[in-house]
Amino acid sequence: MPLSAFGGWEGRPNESKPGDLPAVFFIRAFGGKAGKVTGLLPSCLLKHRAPLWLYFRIYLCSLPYFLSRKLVVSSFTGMSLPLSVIYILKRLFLASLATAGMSVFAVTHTSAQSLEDTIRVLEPLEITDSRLQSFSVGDKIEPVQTRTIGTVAHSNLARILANYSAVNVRSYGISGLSTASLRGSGSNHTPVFWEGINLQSSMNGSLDLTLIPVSFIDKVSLQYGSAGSLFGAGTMGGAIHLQSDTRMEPGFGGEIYQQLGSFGSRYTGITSRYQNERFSFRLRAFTNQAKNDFPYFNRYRNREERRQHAGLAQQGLLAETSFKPADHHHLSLKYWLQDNQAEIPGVAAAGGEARATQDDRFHRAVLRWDFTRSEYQLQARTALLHHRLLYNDHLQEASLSRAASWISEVDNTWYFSETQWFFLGLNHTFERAEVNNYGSEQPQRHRTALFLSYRTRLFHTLEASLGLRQTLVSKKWAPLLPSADLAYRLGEHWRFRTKVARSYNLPTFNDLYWAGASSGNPDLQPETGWSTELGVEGKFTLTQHLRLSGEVTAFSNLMDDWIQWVPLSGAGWSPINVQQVWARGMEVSAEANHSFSTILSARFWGHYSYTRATKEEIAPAGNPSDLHKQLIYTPNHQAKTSVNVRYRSFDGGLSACYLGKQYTNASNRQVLPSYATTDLSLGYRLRIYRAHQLQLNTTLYNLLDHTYEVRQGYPMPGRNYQISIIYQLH
Amino acid sequence: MNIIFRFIRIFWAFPLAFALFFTSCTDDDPTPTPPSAAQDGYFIVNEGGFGNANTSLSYYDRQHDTIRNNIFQQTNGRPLGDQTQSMSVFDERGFIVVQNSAKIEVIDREDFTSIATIDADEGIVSPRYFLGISPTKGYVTDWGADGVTGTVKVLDLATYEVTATIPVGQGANTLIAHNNQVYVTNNGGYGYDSTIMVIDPQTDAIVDTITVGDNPGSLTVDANGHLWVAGSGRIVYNADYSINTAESTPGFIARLENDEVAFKQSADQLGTGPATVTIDPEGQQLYFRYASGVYRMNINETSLPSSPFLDKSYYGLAVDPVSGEVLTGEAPDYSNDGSFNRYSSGGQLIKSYTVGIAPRGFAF
Repeated sequence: MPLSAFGGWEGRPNESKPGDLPAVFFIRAFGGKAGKVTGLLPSCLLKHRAPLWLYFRIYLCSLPYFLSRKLVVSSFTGMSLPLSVIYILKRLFLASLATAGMSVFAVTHTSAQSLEDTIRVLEPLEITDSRLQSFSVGDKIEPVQTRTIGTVAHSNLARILANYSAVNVRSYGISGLSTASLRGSGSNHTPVFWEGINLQSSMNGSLDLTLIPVSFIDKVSLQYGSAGSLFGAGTMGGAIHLQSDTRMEPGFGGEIYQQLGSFGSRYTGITSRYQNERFSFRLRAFTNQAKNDFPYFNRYRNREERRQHAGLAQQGLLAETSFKPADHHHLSLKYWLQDNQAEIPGVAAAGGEARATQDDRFHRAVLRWDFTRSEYQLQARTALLHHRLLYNDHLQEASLSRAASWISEVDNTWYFSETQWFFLGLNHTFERAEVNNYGSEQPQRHRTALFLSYRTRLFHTLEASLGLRQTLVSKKWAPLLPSADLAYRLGEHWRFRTKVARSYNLPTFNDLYWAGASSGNPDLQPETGWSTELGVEGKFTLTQHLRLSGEVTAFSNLMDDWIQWVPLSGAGWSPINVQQVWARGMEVSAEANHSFSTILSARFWGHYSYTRATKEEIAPAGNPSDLHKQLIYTPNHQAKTSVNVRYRSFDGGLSACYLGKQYTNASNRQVLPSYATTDLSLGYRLRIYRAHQLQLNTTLYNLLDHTYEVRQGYPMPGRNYQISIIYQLH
Repeated sequence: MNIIFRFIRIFWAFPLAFALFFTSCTDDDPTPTPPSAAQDGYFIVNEGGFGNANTSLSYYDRQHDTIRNNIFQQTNGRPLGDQTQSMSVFDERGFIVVQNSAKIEVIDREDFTSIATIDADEGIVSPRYFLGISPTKGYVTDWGADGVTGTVKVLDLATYEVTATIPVGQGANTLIAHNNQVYVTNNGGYGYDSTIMVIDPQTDAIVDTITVGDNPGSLTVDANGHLWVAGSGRIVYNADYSINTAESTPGFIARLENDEVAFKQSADQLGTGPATVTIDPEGQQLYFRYASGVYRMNINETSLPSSPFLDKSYYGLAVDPVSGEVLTGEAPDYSNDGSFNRYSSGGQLIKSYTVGIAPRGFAF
């Protein structure tokens, strides 16, 4: 049970005011609903504390045994590598079995106990990730989806994050590779989690955000700052969490979506679902094409041109099914297939004809078992991910890469009392890749992580959580990741929060194993970082109709052993741990909701961030003039805003985003000019008959027709439009 | 209606203020500074990072000992393009060969203003080096779209049009005029070659093909009127990206007399050069990049020198034809500014200057 997700805020266990929740905390709203439940808990939980504690101790004691056995085995020198791998796998299997077994024991036991209780304990309406909801007391977590409007709601994740969040989306043009940079961190320091599974590629450490259709996701939450103790490697700048809505209306339902837009853009989506008391099924599919042959002024060639060879085609399918075999149990299976074909236009300064293409195919499957009670929650999941990438520059032989991951995780949460919560998780990740450019090497990597968190509340106003994660990466200990969060509530309106956390990032397979004229470096150390932050949130209900909220956060993130590819003395490149980077800054955001009457309401959201990310130490071979200079493609200033208005069946929205100047080289001599874009959306909802509804939307992008580049040499289109029609059956 | 007025009052101020604020402060284009007359100096070509559209041109003023960076953009108000391979000064004009932008920018040698752009519309595809033949005629080597269909494009320097195309070998690279003939190295490009082709500039016909060794890349002429050639050799990879030592060849330096190889010395190891062979103003001392240093070799030597002249790896190398100073370009990587260094002919560093990204060439 998620209980009060941001307890001490709107989900204070003894209070329940879901009706008063401001929209900015929409995603946290179920915390308020759960609050109804938690008020009932203490009497029954006090009785359970002792036995639960005992199970926990048995469980905890058993794990080190299995883990240590594994260590002994792996250090056994006489054993050949494949044999030791098998041994490790066996031990891991036993360890997971033990974890699962203990969990089942705990499950059956608590079930039996609760049957004896006369108090009826409600279950949460929604299955969520308890880690994110319950043990991130001092984290800044932000819902993104609720701000979107118009056809933006059926675009890709890159566009949503660029327009409606503090993320700096680094992109190679409209259809090009887009990655997230949060708080001045690198492009692969903000991984994307889908259903709690890290989707980062083991080959290059990133995930192209343009390959994630928003119609496949129901919720996007952004977690700022290091999240290493709960979410593991890679989360140095933050984490992006994607989730599906598990709550559906009973019976059949569906949606058909058709969109047309400038530059040959066509998007068709379909969703169908069925739910009864025990079973639910949902199928979503989409197909998307665009030519992206927009006109622009090519300043490198001093003439008007059309963008060439920038088209894309995507098709995807997401099947989700869930089943409740018994009370408190929830099983779900999800499968996501996606195919992407993209033309790579290259830099606008390049002459000649661009011919490179990239095909990506993803298979992602996740099986998940949830057991949820008021005092104990178990989440077990196992996922298989497969990525096939074919890059063809039509000069040399096409390059084929295949990567597979198997990720399994068991998360246990004990709610000992209203104020004492404990979390224990075990994750095992196996990765392998077959890449043309790795030569004869076919790298594999095992990662086993044990992580725990404890959350408590003191004096009704102070909340604290402590976390720790230890990972074993292919027989070597990764850095220990501690975290400490503290939150203090001052009166009805104010909440202060602070966090100190360590994080790390593993070198990618490309970093380690690339072969040829440029070569990987097997001796690379992981990147490590310490991040701290301090924030204050305020919430005011001025009148019954006007609610204001806002927050200010200051952060600092010191990252060591930053990996960078540097030229070798002969030809080619190789990565080394070159430098220390210090990112720090300030974020301010505000939101206002006003319902003027039952037919007219409006919302304003604004965000501003100042980020300074500089190199504080450089490698001996480095250029001293780079010291204390801003990292490339990291703007000092970023501001975003949106205004949404709803009047009867009409929706209107205006969003704008401003990115300050960005340096494009390390000595900060070259500058990409600042730019601002404005998008305008209009929508109309029409109820045809009973459960049948039509929606018409249109969005004008880049309303003021600004000429800008998101990356040097990568132009963006001027004013362009999309229109869409949605038919919905509830 | 009251409601609507209140709504407008409260909400629309925000986005309006926002839009106004950011519309008014998005013009960050630097104003071009007026050019100063260049009297006595030379150009430094900064290649930039491939695909990053950040190549630039610097100018060194000998008289005032000053460096001016990014002069093309500052003078002409537009970026130079992507990946400048080389520049040549000829007939009071500068010919900047921007390979990945598939163009040749022609500027005034004195005030750097743009005179013409010869680009893909004229049939330029992947240009490498320029050689002036006469005030109305020039040659430019071109790799072709596939990197193996090497050609020499004949340029009309009055109209800036391509008037003819001469097919040569793979990866047509540097060229030099010598004895009323033009010598073109075929450096392999994305393929492989081992020849130098000789063109008669009167007829634009290939009159000779000389096989010298794998992937010849640069040329110079010594005091005796002999041609020197540096070749990079060839590295052949196995399927697993290990080096196929049986088929690979090391780099070499060779001397041509009467269009025949009179001397050839191969390097000890694969993939170390020599490259960028150049010569002092007297035509006696050769300089070239080799292994991880710069080497000097007298034209009468019969073996490669054992120790380097400068024990540091440089990206660009030239000898100032006026002062005889050895000039090097230093590139820490392809995203940082590099530096340009002046060395005395005794090997002493005179001075270093910060220039653009990846300084790879000089034009005098």
